[in-house]
Amino acid sequence: MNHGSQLIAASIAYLTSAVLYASLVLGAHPERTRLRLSIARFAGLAGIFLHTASIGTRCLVTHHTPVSTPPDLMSAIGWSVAIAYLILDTLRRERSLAALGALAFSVSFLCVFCSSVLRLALPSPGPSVAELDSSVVSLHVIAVMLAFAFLILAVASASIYLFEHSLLKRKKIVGGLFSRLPPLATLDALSLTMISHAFPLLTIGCIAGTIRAVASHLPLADSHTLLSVATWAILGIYLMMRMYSIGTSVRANYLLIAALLAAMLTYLAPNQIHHFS
Amino acid sequence: MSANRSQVLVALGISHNSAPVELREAVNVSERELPSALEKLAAVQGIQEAVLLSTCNRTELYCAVEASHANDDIDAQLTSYLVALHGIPISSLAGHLYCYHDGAAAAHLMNVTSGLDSLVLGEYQILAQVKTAYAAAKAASTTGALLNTLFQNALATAKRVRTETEIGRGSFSIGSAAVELARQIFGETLEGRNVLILGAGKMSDLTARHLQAQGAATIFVANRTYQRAVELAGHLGSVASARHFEDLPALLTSSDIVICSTAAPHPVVTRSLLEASLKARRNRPLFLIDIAVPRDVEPSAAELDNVYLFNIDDLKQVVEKSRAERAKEVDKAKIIIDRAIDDFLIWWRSLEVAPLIVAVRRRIQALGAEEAAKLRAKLPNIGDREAGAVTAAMEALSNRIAHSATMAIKECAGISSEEAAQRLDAIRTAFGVEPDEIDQEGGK
Repeated sequence: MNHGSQLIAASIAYLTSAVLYASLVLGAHPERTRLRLSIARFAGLAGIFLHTASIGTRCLVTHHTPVSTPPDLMSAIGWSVAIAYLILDTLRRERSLAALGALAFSVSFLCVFCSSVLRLALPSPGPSVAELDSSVVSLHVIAVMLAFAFLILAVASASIYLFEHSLLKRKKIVGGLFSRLPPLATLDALSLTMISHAFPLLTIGCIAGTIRAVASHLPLADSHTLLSVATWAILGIYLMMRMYSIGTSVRANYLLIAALLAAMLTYLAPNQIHHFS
Repeated sequence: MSANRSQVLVALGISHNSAPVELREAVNVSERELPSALEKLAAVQGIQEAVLLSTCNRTELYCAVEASHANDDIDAQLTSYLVALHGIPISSLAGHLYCYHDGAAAAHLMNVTSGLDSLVLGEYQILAQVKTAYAAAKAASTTGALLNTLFQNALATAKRVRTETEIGRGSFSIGSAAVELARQIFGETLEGRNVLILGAGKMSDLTARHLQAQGAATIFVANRTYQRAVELAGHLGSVASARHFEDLPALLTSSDIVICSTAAPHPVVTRSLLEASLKARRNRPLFLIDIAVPRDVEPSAAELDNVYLFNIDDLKQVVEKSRAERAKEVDKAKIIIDRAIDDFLIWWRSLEVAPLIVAVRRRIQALGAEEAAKLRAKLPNIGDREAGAVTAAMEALSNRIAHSATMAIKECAGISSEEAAQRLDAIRTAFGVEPDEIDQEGGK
């Protein structure tokens, strides 16, 4: 089984898991919920296993790190999100996390899908930049990527919070969907936990990137760096708000969405020093 | 339904469907009285096994009765037992008792255990109550193969109904709707949360009890008349304490859930009061349940961030919707229960055919041994080794025929009684088994 087939199998497993988690939240076919939850978990786990095998096989074949090309990076982000959710699910084992599972595995599936499309759409990559395989750059990329994964999960949690908050405010409290969402306090705690992991990882990533840039006499003030610092600052403000109980949870959750938008802009903005080839 | 030839299953009792609360109270058996009540029940003539289920909504006797005693008298005897146990006139039970036999009795227990016969459809307290009643009967050694299997199947079926349908989901009352909303805001348990009751009405008492059952840490009771607050706090137990109404701003700061049910003609919890308390609360969410008419909380307070305000109509719509949704799940639950009843009855019928199986096997083995002996008599010169081989072959042949016969008899346990009886009779005749032989096996 080559890495391409493994990746297709992983994406199918992610999609299966996302659909099953979503069915638990939306209440379609309420019978056999425990069985469906087990299958959703198993499918997610199988997806992670196949995805890991695919990344490993590709690294062995190309002799590069798993983040040497844009499609590789996209695939690695999907993998990180799935892993972050798996850790969370293993620690909490709550059925109410199904809503988060549906979003997390949907993101993983989309990342794998986009990675495959990018691989087909982009011309065959030339030799990758040697720096990408250096340990400092690897640390920079891996730390930022994991921070991004935790941020995605935190935003998923924040989105569910805001949706549920809006249902409560509009008194749309009748029906299965509302009762199947995790409690607001749980979602708030999940977002905080995720950002408590994302913030130090992003700090490490930024420091490693700065060290590499200074050592190579590269300009520090490029768009990627500035937007990364902006994301880091927003996450810092969020943590301050939660630690000192400043502002409402609603505002804090909107701040997380702003942080994700800033992080996504980081990848989309043109720049001089961040490139793959 | 065909019954086991040696036992008849009887379920007799009263419930909220058949009797008023006064009568239900009169025949209620407390947990303390249960062992002696079971002992007396087991002493009723013909009763071989017995379980007594007594809750605030029902008192029911489940008995396995020796077939020879299972005529109309058994219902009268069980009624007399209830009358004697409680010292009530027999006329008081007239028209309130129901009695089911065999399959109908099994079906009734399955329905009861699964919450389909409960006052609040799908409530799950009954499952624990049936479990307790069964455990008490086991401890008193009044159960046997029939009731053990029936109760174990009923408990397992009820668990399946709860996990495979949504019959137990949703809110049953204003109090449980409030708890459900509070859990959706504060998390699965309400441990460490403070509750404030404004006004000492009956509804706020009930709602507070629901919240207390979910682990609410402290309950403050504030009322214009301080003495009434003290009384209600006394009813709620040690976690509750009475407070003066004038302390309202401070109480709003330290509480997470507020239940309002004062008789005030104008709002007592105003938007400005809440705005001030939210600042002091450092933006912790505040859940307000306003069950007063006219309302106690200024409606515009709902616009404040971190304030979740619900009035009696909001909670009522939750209860109504839950009720309708639970009713939809009944059909699904019935399918599970019907299947469980069928399985139980097949098992029970297999007990009925057990004596025939033994008699047929014995007959075939005897025929085999007889033929082997005849063969040895006809061939006196064969050695022990050859004779042993002939006997072994005959035994193997007998066992194979007996196995086929056993399977054919067991198959009859799963079909309708008339056809089963015809088939069983045919098998019995084919193997030359006399009815007396079956009776002898059944009596062992």
